[in-house]
Amino acid sequence: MSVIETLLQDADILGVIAISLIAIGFLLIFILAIFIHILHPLLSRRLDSLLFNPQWFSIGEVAMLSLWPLSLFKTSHYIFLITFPNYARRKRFKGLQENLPIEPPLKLAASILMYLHILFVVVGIAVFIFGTIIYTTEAF
Amino acid sequence: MLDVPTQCYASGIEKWHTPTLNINKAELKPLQQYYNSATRQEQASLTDLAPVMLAAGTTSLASIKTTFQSNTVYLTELVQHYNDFKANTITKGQYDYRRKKVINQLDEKLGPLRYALNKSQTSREILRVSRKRGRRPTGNITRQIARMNKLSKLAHSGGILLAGVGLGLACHDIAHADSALQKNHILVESLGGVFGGVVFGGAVALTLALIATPVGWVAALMIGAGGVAVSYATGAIFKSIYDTNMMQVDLAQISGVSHLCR
Repeated sequence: MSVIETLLQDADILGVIAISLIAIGFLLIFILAIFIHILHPLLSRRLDSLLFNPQWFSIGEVAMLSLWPLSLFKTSHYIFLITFPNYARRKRFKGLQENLPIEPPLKLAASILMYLHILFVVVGIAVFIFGTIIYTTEAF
Repeated sequence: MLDVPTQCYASGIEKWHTPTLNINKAELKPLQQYYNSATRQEQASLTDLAPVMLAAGTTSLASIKTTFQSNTVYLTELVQHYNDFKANTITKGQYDYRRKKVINQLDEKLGPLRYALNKSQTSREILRVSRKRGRRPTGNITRQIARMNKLSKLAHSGGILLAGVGLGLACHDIAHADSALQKNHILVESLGGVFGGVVFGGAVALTLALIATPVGWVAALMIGAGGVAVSYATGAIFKSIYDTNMMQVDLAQISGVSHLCR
């Protein structure tokens, strides 16, 4: 029996919601993985000389986030700064006065990635919540 | 005609070897001893946790190894220039110019890693030629070369191997599962673990950006442990969703995993 047939015939509403969210989640993983690996070298090249130093990151973070895969965390900081500049400049990048040398299309791409990232985390939490309900219902 | 189970086929199929942890014993002997004496469940957890543990300290050095090794040539060049100066082959002006050029090249090549190597000091302060009587003049530079090489050696072994071992364990279990249901359970739990791990990583990235607290080695270890716990829980949740809603679907067959892992 195919997945769709099973969902239409046998699954209850909670199960359908959970499985749909899981499918959306895996799709977002695929899109985000491609997106961030395209943006990562572009942003690193433009922003590392300005931002990736002990003024904004601790020595330990500089060592840890220097190279892939942990450098993706560094890129997520940059994307957060591009998307929410006022908040980021009050928090991690305190005292940063300079404008970022980022072209508008790159800013748009970074913002889209940020919102997809937030959506993915929300979907993941929703899967966890629905899944926990199903798990506890099955257990008891 | 009777269907012949695959276990009865003549051996043309490669014998599966349980993945073993093969890392540099000199540096990581305690980890290897623990892994080899652990239960299967503990080994599975370790393959999830250890890459992040090691990533906090040394896994990222697997790439730093290449960076450092390829840059010791600049330090060796510095020593050569000093020797040329002392042998009066070049003037002081020429030596100062060449020294400045090499240090600039080294800083540029190392990039942010120069902070990991030099902490708050600049490369110029670290790479001084010592003028103290009785000390080898190029001792500072030689020490820096040795430090870079030592860090490179630490990076040689590492948690990157363990990521492959984790996947190998799941595939091994699927290959040796007794029934299609068991194969599907293992597959679904593995997918759940991956999903949970990625969601956790995404949530951590977002949280770190929001709260802007510096992350040290200890915090990275705790994050890694949290990731393992979330992965495990999500695996159990996925299994539960599969049991209650999709038990008729043979996911292992549809996805081709049962053919891949046999």
